[in-house]
Amino acid sequence: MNSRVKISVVLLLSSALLAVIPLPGKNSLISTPEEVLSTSINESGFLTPDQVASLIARSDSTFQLIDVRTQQEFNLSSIPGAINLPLSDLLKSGILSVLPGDNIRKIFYSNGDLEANLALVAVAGYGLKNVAVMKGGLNCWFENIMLSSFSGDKITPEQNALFETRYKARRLFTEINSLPDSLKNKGLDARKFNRKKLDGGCE
Amino acid sequence: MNTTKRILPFAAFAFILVILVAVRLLSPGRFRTTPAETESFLTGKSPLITINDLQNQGDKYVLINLDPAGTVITGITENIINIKPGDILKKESMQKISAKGKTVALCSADLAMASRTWMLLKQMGIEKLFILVDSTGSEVLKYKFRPDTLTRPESGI
Repeated sequence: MNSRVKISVVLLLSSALLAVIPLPGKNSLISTPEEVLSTSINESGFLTPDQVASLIARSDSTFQLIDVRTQQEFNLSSIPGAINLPLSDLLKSGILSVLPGDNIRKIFYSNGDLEANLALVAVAGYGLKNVAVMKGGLNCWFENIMLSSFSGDKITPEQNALFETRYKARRLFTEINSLPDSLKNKGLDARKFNRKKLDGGCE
Repeated sequence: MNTTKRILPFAAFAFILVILVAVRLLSPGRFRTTPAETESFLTGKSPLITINDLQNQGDKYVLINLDPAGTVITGITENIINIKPGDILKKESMQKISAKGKTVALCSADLAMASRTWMLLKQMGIEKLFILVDSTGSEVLKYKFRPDTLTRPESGI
């Protein structure tokens, strides 16, 4: 056999085998099951509504809320600062690449516990890091933040701090969600700007 | 003999490639679903099931208790296997979960952990997998937001 035939045979065999090897495509899972499991059972992957309220109240810029409900539900009410990424669009080509990088914590939420946690495992499989879920979803947000009240004669400093945080978050939620849809994001940015001016910090 | 010597390198090369493909395809600890299937797990039928529905669906079933052993599960005492979430990918755990023909229901007081475990196992190729709950309406928003009609847009928006 001359060398050309040999090379042709090798190339043909390699092509045939490469055609069946399951190489990762553009949209394939890139994390291993062990990595996804590690993300799933990590305690830091669960945040309470109070923790989320605290992040919102102090305008923390190291997190991004992601609402995985439908657009209709999102427009009715959503946590200020959240972006809407319905489950049906979550894994569409290129969507995950527009989310913030690993230095920003991505916090998923839905109405309850089911959908947000399914989303977390799905995106963890595609390599998204620094992800968490707000436990209990919006139902828990309403119970703990929107409808909470203090009853008693005395309040401890810790309780006072907690209720202050809840009050700020509740007020922001009400104000932003009471605006027309087209003004919600602008309203949130304006409030952040006003707060910075009051603090006397640099812009 | 000369022909054999000539084709031996190619045969060896092809054999190594076949082994690599087989190892990749058949290794147990890898995801077995396509992106389209993963998407269908997110948007398809809800995985939540009540004990009545589980008992009425006809197939034999087994309950996987993700909580500490001994946790009471709605009055059920049979067909319970205790597996901690951190051990779910171990070989013996996967063998118990993927027993042929049986419906598997994950049980936990923590729906968040059960949901994550469900999604992971579905991506590992486990079929007929559900999450046992008291009620299937957990994803319905129970509260209606009432806008504050006195809120006005900030000046300058």
